[in-house]
Amino acid sequence: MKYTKKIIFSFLIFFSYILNVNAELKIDITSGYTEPTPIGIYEFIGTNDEEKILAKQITKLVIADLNNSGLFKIIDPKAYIQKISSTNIMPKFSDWKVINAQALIVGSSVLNASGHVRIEFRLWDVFAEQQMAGWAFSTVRSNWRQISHRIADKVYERLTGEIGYFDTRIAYIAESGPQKKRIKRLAIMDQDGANHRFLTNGNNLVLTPRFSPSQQELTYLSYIGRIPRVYLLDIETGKQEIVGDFPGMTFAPRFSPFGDEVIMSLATGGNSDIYSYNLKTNIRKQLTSYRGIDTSPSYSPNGKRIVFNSDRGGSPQIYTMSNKGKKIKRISFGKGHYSTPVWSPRGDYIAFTKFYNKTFYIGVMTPEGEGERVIAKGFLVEGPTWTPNGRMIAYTKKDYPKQKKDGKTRIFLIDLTGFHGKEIITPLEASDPSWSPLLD
Amino acid sequence: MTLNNLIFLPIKNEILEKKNYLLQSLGFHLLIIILIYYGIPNLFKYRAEFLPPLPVEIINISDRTSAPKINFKKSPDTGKNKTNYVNQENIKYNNQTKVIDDNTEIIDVKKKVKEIKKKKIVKLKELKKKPNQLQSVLKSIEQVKKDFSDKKKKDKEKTKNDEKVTPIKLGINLSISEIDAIRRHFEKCWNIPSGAREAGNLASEIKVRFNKKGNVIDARIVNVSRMKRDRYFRTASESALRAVLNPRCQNAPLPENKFDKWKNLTLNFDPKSIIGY
Repeated sequence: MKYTKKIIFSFLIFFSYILNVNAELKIDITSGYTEPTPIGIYEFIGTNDEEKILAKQITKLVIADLNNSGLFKIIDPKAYIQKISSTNIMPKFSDWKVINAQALIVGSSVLNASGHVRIEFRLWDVFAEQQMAGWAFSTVRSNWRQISHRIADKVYERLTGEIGYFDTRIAYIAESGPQKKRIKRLAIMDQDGANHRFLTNGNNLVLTPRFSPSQQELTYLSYIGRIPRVYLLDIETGKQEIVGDFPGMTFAPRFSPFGDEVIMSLATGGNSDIYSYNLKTNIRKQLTSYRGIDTSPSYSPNGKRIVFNSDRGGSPQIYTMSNKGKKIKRISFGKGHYSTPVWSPRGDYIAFTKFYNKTFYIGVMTPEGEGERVIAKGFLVEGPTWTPNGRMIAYTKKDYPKQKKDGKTRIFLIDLTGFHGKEIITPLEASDPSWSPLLD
Repeated sequence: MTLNNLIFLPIKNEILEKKNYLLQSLGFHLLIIILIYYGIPNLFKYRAEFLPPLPVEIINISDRTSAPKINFKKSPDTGKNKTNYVNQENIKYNNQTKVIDDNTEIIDVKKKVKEIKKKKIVKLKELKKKPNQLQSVLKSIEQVKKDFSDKKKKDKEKTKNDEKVTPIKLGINLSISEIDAIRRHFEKCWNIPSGAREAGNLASEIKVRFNKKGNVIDARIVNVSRMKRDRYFRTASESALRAVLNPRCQNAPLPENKFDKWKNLTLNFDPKSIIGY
């Protein structure tokens, strides 16, 4: 009995604690600012000349990666107050708070006698005065670029919650020459612009390159022999082949999420429908059979659904269907013409191009067609492609013509909210970007 | 008694006894599970969160409770030509205003009213007990009147004292403009998690303790358990925490006389409306 009383008493105390809904005031903060987060990156520390050179290279690349993401603003090192001599000491946070650094990266490089290098870094939360991440990478010296991208990935991941994408590549169409004799070549580069090279010589017009999930192949449209056809290119060997033996013009290709199929449009007699082509079995399947134009198909990340563009409703709009061509559903209902839908790698959004009232827009909406938002607009903005983490979108932007001269065509990167944007620097004018998937 | 009964009866009893133990054990474990289910999340939060989400409601009550202050001042004057009941009404009225503000004080006021009533009844009974002593009655009436007038004065003093205390207590809640100032103060320091996945479900509460100057002494993320399993939420919470700890956001514009109301605040950083979900 006495135990029962004790138990009841304990329960009462416990529940009174739980239910002790203190009369504390709760205030909702529903607004903020959307500027890039200011962070300090202290130059990586090296003890001898060789280590210092390597440390400098790595620091420079990490800064470039984070800067290019558009989400971070690297504070000018000249403003740094504290001089750091080791990664193993606690930063003097007050010195970093003064310059409004919200995060701080400190690292070091150590070269071994065997030629291996050990790169170590720590990420600090300046305001909370806590370490957020600490990593050490060991590899051969020649991999320094990869290590730098990995460091930037880790920082990005920790500060945004999203997977980093700095160790990836971009395929795009490099453009040169006058508009009437435009030379378009297929090109590829690391996302930071390094290791740039052309994959085609410019003799034939090429368009819409798309990466395979393995990163090793590209599918694209080429006008070889003046007939537009979908081709497949092995990036390493340079081997090029036609995808399928289709009777008419094929265009707008894209790989399935598992890389075994290419989905594309086939145009015959003024009608274009969507087909899938299995690269292993060479079997093709017709997915749509409408007499108008069905084009720009893109798989959902799980491969179960397809988003595409069709004028079956009277104007170009966005539709979704199953991977067997069933359950067709229109998802765009706004004003204007919609085109080039692309499903986000994380599956939550579909990016598209929209033309309305003489202006082009890049926008996003959910796969159900809800929450349509415009994130970029311009004289000509088109062809969105997602970064592998699905947080940012790269697209083609052509400037307004100036003094009877055509505007420049460039690639821009913008985040999902439309707040953070940045140009992706390319050697020549550029269009039709395609971002490679993440390397495992 | 059959053979079957002989063999199985003890076994049945044993089973029944075990069943009792089993039921007790089940009940006990069930209670523990309930405790864990309801208790542990709150332990992590270390304070409950079931508060009215709209601060405007709190302020409205505060304003309303302050309003009777003017009427309350007038009541003693109007009560000059009235009986003692006016004072009681005043006390009752005062009582009503306090109901809104502080429940604990109702009991005290009610007690006072009861005491006064009792005293009056006792005195009236005493008067009734001596009906033949006319002179003494007259005297006693005069005395009673005097007593009443003394009581009136005392009551007035009491009510005045109450009046002095009440408005301060009634107006102690933060006003809409004060809450709005706090909101704007922290908004300028919050760099929202741009483009985060499921941004519609990333509201994170930060429990903040201030000193009298409006500087943050301590700030803690409430939902620590979700932080461990949801990296998007962790990022959002950390950005909110950075906003609170940002040196630019010290010296929050908080009224010193209401320190008790804002020394512990819960700030709910919700990126939903910014990102357009």
